[in-house]
Amino acid sequence: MTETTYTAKDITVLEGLEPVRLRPGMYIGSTGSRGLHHLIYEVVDNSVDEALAGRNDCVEVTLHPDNSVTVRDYGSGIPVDVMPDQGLPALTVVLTKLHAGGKFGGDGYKVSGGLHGVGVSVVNALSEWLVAEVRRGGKVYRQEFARGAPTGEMQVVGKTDKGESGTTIAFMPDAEIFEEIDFSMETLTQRLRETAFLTRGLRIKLTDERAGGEQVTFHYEGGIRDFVKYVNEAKEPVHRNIVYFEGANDQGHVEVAMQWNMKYVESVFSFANNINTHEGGSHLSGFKAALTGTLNKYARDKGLLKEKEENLEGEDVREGLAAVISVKLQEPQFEGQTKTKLGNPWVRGLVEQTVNTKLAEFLEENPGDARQIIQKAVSAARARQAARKARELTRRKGAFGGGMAKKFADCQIRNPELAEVFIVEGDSAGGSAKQARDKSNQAILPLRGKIINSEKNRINKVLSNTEIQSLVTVIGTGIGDEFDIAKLRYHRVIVMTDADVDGAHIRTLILTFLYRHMPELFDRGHVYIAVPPLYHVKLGNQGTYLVKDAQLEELLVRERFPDLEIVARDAAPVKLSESRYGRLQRALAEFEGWSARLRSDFGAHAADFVISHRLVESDAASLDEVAGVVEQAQANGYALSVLGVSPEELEVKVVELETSSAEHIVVPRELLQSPIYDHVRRTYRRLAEIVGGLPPFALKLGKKREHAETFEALRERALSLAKEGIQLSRFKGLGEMNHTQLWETTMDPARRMLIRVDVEDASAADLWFTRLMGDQVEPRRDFIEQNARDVKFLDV
Amino acid sequence: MSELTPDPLAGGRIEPRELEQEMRASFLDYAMSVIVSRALPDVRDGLKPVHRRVLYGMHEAGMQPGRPYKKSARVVGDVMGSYHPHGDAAIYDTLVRLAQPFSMRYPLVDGQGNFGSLDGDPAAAMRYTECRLTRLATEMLRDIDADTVDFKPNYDESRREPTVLPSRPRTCS
Repeated sequence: MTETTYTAKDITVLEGLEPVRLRPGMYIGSTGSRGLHHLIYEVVDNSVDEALAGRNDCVEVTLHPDNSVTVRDYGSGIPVDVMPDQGLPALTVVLTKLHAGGKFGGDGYKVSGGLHGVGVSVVNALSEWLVAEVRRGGKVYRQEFARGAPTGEMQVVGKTDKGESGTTIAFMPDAEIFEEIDFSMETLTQRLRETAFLTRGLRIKLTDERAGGEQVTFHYEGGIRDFVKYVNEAKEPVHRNIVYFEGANDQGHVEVAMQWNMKYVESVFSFANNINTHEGGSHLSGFKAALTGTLNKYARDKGLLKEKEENLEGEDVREGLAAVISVKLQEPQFEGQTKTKLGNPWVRGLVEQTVNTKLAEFLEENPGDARQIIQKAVSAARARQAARKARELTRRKGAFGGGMAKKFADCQIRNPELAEVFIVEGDSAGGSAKQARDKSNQAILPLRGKIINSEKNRINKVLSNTEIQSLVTVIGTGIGDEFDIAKLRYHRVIVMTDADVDGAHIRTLILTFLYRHMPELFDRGHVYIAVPPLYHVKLGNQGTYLVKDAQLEELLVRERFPDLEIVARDAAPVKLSESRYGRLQRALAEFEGWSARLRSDFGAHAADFVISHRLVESDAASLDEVAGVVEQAQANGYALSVLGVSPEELEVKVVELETSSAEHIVVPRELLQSPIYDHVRRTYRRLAEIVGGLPPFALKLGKKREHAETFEALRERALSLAKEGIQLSRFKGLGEMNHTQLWETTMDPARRMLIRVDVEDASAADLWFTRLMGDQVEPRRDFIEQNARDVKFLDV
Repeated sequence: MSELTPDPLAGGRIEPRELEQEMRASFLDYAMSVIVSRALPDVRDGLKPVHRRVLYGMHEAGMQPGRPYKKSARVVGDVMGSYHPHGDAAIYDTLVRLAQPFSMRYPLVDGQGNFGSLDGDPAAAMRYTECRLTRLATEMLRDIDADTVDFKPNYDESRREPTVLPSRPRTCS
C-alpha cells in the first residue's frame, strides 16, 4: 500500500469570490452564451426587485461596441453607508461578498426574483472590470473593481439633485472565463420583454450601440394581459375579451390572464416571483384543475354539453389556450431537475379558488365569449377522440407487425439510462449508421424525407403519419396527457441529420414535433443533436475532422501562419502569432462595432471616408488640421483634394484613379469631435499595436502573394492564403462517409460532440415555433428579412 | 479498458444550446438557402439554378440539336455528379418540364419518348426517355465559352459552372 499523503495542507478554503471564478458554472449555469446573458439578467433582476417594491420605474440596458454593458435604474440606489459588522460600505459588501443583499430577511424586499440570491457579486467576479455608481441623497458614489476585487475605495465623485437616485452598473464580461462575449440582442429582447410584461408599469429600455444605436423600449401598463395579447399576436383569437383576474391571501398574490386562439397547441406559462417555472408546480396544477372543472360545469349548466356526451378533458379545454399565471409569494420553494418547479403546496389552493370563482364570473358576464370557448373545447374533444382511434390503430398494427417500424434497429441493452437512439435522416444515412453503431446501446431509427409539420396540422393528421408513428413508438413515452416519462426507452434521443440545409430543415421539423408533444423530454435534457463534421482537412500526412468553421480558422492559424510573411507600411515586417491573431479578431469586431455606430450617426459616406482614407490615424481634431492631413494623404488608388473648409464642415473630392469616378464628401465637425470617433481612433491604434504595423500590408506564403489595404482585409487575405495547398473536403451527407468515419466522428461516445437542446424560456420557445413553423406567413417573412445577414451558411 | 465499470456514455463533449436558438439558426439557414439558390429564377436568364445546370450539363455533353438523342439518365447522372449534389428525382423532373410543350412556351429540351401529358400522366422513367437541346436552348447558351458570363466553382471545386446563361437570341442582337 502506498502511503497516503492526504493531510490538512491539501484542504483549501476558497475565500470571497474565488469559488465563483473557479467554478462559474455553479453560479451562472455555464460559461457559454447562456451564462453570459445571465450576467445581465442578474443585474436587471436587482432593479426589477426594486420596481416590485415600488421604488423604481425604469431600467436602461445598453450594450457597447466593446461588448461591455451598462445597466442603469432609477431606484433608491444600493445603500452606501458603512455596515458595522463588516466595516465596509454596503455597496462594497454587496459587490464583493457572496449571498449579500437585501433579500435575506429584513424589510428590504417583500418578494424578489433573481438567481436565487447569489447576487450581483457573481457578476463582479466574472467581469474583467466593473464600475458601480450610486446616486443617493444628493451625492454620486463610485467604486471600481477588476475581476471581483476593488481597485480603490468607494468615493464621492459628484453631486446630484436630492430627488434623483438610482444605481448604474457597468461591466465587461471576462473573456478569460466566457467562451464568447458577444451578447445577442435577440435573446435579450426576448427576456427583457418578458420581464416587462411581468412587472406592470416598469419601463425597460434596451440599446444596442454595436448595431448603430438600435433601441427598443418595453413598457406594458396591461402587464400579463399584454403578455397574452403578445403571445396571440400571430394567431387568430377565438373570443374577443382577454380573461384577467387576480386574487390574494395573506401569504401571496396571484394574477391570471388568458385567451384562446384558433391554434391547436397550448401556450400556458407560469411564473413565481418573475421566475419562469417551466416545470410547473403547485400554481400550475391548481390552475389546470380549476380550469377543467369550471368549464365543464358551465358547459353542463348551459346545456352546451349534452347529457350523454363525455366530460371535456384537460387537454381539450387547453387546446389553443394562451395563458399566463403569475404568483408572487414571500418564500418560494423551488424543486425539480432545473429548480424551476414551484413547491409551496398552499399556492395550489389559492390559485384553484381564485380561478374557480373569477373564471365562473367571467363566463356568466360574457356569454358570447363563453360559448365560443366551449365550442372550441368541444371540437378539440372530438379531434382527440379521432386521434385516439388513430393511435389505437397504430397500437393494433403494432401487435401484428412486431411493434416497431421495419427499418428500426434496436440496441441490446434494456436499461434506458444507458441506451440512446439516433433519429437519422433518410435510408442511406440510416444504413451507414446501422453499420457504424455500437449495437449494445445504440439504436437507429431512419426517417424518410421531410416529416409532417406538426405546427400546421392537427394532431389526428400528425399521428396518422407513419414516420411520426414509428417515432412515437420508438421513444415509448406516449404523447400529450398520456405522456409518461417512466416509459422512456432511451435517455438520449439524438437527432442526426446531414450537415446541409435540408438536414437543418428536417431537424427543425423533428424538434417541432418533440417540443409540441413531448416537451418534458427537453426539460429533463433527453434531446440531443449529433454534430457530424463539416470538413476533413489533410495537412501533409495528417487528417483531421472539423465540426465548426471556427476550428478551420484555428487550424489554419496554428499550422500555416508561422510560414506567412507579412510586410506592413514602411517595410516593417510583421508576424501574426496565434495569440496575436485572437486579439486581432476581437479588436476587429470592436472596430467594426464603433465604425457601424459612426456610420449610423453621421452617414455612411463621411464615416467610410474617414476610416478608409486613414484619417483615423492622425490626431487631427479640427477641420483645418484634417484638411492638412487630407492634402498629404498617400494615394492608395484615390486622389483626394480639399474643396472647401468652413467652421462647420469640410468638403473633399475623392477620385478613384482606375475608373476616374468622382465623389464629393462632406465631413461635419461634429463627427471629428464625437466620442464615437474617438473610440474608432483608439481601437484603430490598438489594432496597429496588436499587429505591429499599419496598412497597407503585403502578404507572402510560399509563391503566392496578396495585398491588403485594411486590417480587416489583412485577416481575410491571410486566411485565404493559408487555405492554399491544403486538402479540404466538405461533407454534405452522412451517407458520404464510410461507416468507420461516421463512427469516429459522430457516433463514438468517447470522441463525438453532442448538442443538448435546453428550453430555458418556454414562452420564447413557443413563440418561435409559432413564428417559424406556423401557418402565418407574415411573421416568418419579417424574421427572414431582419436576419438575412446572420445566415451561418448558405447552400449554393 | 482501464476502468472497472466503463460507462458507455462517458467521454465526448456535450454542449448545451437553447431550443429557440437552434430553431432560429437552422430555420434561417434553410429558408435563406431556398430563397437564394433554389426557388427564385434569375431575372437575367429566367432560370433557377437547377435549370441552368441541366442546360449547361447538356451543352457540355455536346447534345446539340443535330446530334443523336442520348439517354436522360446520362444527363441526370452528369448533372448530379458535376453540379447539382441533390436527389436525382429533382433533376429529372426539371429536365422533363423543360421538354414539355404544354409547360413551356418554347421547350428548351427536345425529348424523345413519353414526357408526360397535359392530363397529368407522368413521364416515363429516365432510363427509357432520351433527349437533346432544342435550337432555342443553343441560343441561350451561345458564346458561353467566349468569356461572356461569370463562372463560379462547383460544389466540390473540381469544375466551374456559369452563374447565368448568356441568353442572347440572334433576333435581339
